[in-house]
Amino acid sequence: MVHRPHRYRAQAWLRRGALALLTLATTGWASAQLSIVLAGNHGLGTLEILLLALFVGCFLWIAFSFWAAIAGFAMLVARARQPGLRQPSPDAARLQTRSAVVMAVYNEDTARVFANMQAIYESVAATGQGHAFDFYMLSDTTDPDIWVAEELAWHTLTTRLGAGARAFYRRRRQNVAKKSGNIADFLKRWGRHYDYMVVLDADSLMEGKTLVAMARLMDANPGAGLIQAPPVCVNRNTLFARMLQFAGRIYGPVFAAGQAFWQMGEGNYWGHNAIIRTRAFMEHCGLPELPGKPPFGGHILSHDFVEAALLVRGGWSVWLVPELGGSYEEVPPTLLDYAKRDHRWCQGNLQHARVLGARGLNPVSRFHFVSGIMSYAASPLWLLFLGLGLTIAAVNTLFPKAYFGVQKQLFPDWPIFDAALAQSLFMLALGFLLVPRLLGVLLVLADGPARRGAGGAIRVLVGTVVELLYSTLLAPAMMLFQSKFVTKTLLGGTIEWSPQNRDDGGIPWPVAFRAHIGHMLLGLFVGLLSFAIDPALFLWLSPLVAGLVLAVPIAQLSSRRDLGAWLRKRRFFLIPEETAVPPVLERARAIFAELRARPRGEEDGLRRVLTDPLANAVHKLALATAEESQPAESAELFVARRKLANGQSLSAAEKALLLYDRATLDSRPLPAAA
Amino acid sequence: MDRLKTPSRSRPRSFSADAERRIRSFLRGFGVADEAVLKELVKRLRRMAPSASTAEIDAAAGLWFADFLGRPESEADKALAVGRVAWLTARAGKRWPLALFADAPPATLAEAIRRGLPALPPSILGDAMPAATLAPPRLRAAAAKPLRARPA
Repeated sequence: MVHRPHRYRAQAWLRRGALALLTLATTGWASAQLSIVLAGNHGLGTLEILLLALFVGCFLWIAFSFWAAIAGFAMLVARARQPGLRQPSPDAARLQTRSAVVMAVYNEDTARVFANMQAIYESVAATGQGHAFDFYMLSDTTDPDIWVAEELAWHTLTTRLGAGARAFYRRRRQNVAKKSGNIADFLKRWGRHYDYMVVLDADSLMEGKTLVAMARLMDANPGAGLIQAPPVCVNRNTLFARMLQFAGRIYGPVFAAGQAFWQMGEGNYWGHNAIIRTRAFMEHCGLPELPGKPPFGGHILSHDFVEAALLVRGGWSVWLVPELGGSYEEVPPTLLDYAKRDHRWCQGNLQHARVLGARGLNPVSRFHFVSGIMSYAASPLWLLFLGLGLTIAAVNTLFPKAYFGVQKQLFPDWPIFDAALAQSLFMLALGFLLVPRLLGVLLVLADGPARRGAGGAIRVLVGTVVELLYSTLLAPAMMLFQSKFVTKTLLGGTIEWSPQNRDDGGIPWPVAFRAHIGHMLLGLFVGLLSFAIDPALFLWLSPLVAGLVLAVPIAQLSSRRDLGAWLRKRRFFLIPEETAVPPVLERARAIFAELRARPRGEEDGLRRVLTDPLANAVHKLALATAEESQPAESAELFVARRKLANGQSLSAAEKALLLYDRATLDSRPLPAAA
Repeated sequence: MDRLKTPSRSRPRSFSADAERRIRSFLRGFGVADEAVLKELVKRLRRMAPSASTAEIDAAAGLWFADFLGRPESEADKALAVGRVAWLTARAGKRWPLALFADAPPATLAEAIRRGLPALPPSILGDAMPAATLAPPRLRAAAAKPLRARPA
């Protein structure tokens, strides 16, 4: 179903064609050069051909990213907007459409998520368009204590926002299909009341004016199914996260603009900080359960890519709009938290192999799936590439080629190795990786407020060099982590759904040691082997060897908050959003501090609901608004009631059951409110 | 002990005590602590819900809150839930305890309740979201058929 002609499509294919041509041409040239290097004067053997094939796969990937980033840089320099997206009229008319801002949470820090919601709510209200937005906290929390804390935090929020505040809370009894199921449940209940919904993660923050701008863009583009605002990473204090934030802020815009350049209306969805046309989403994005067992069967984990693909299949356009601004999120605080999140994403992206061939998908959507898979599959490919290269070198050392053959010959067959060509290839690959980042730096240096906000030109340059060194050292460990995740997933392993760590806690040395001992040993082995083969080879591999051997201190030291704070005080790894803090971030921090300072009261959620009249009333109201039914009489419920009556300890599941049990909620004598 | 000796006499008294306990528990849920006030409110609620069953107490209280908040009687259950939260938020159990279930509650109470009244979400629609098909193209499915049909 096409809702209006997508005039951008011809231009989009032209852009994609140009990128594909450049990618294929550079990969072809680089592969030809490598084949010359590998062939020497003996030709290509099986190992060399295999190595070449791996190189082609890996190089295609970095070449495409490079050319897309170059295009993105050009777009940013030209201050070009998405040509296929109609801009709304500049007059600030009252919004006529209604949007729901939904925040999906799962056992999160209650004060943090409600502080974020209040800050966004107030920011929207300050635009004068508050009438057009309702806010929903959609909880999939399984811990009954956090559940009750969320209800009380919601009550506090509505009290703080004043009479008639349109902020609602709903906790789902069964968290089927995780976040996508949570959003689907919201849509089934309330979706049709709204033209659009803005999906937020627990760590998302968005400026009110951005939300209003997104709603206006949707109004102006009736064929748009989804508009994604790329988030800037903020709020972190550990060294690891601060470098990640810095890299994201300095290099990120070039890459985001590059993606927007070739994706146009067949863009992707990042799962949050996006506005979605509810009708389109409800019609096309009901996710089926894939046949078979996890990790490839069952519920779709990385639902966002699939939802974007389904919207595009349904005739709706999906846009990434980098110029929106006012969109924020947080990064994991440590390398191990980052790796844990990567494991989840890896499993989700690899599951897309099952969806890749689905009927009727747009080729660009299929490409999104492939690129998502490649963002993890590239690691084992690089690992194989390095392993194979090392093997070839070892074979050549252990079994040297004979200079003189069986037949008599006047001159020996000197082994030919074109070192200069090999070096130029290496420099080309390095350039493809570095140039987009340097272009990002250039943009920041050229932008006065951004440059000053990031600590000034010198600090931006020093920060970039240190960050590049750090990410070079980090890359081998990440390659091994991701290779492990890919292998584990392919062998049928799954990962549990656990809440993301959002606190700035460090990694203890023993934990870092346990996580990286394998990396260290492998690094030592590769270092010794390469040195034994040829000291020159060791030098080539030294960044990889150093990254692996130093993995433990890298992980531990980078997880430290004090180092991050020390560098921040000296204005290193600063981002402009820390120098001139956006109002919504500042407000969220202030509210969070206020909420944290309040006395917490009874921690046991069930006890609190049974003894505190207000907690009891708020809990019953939450159940009433969600129209939750009384649980059926069962042995579990009977046992839970008996345990409660006898003062025995209850499991989380039993507490949750009793929190739905009307008889329990009504029967307990409540003391008068203090 | 009387109850054990004379079960026939004790039955209605026990029932009455049980009803009173239910009503008192219900009223304490509104933050009413003063014994004299409780006695008066128990009398009032007994008149509103003669059987004093939990359902009847809830229904009567719900109707009172629906009337007080200007909501339709069909939403009495939600009016009770939201009204109780607003009542407790306004600490009305301490400030205006005798206004609970009164025929003419004071305007100051109405204003305090209005300020603490949480908004309710819109009605639940219960729509369906059809599951999208993610099956491979027909051609491939057809091509795979002979393989599937082949005996092991």
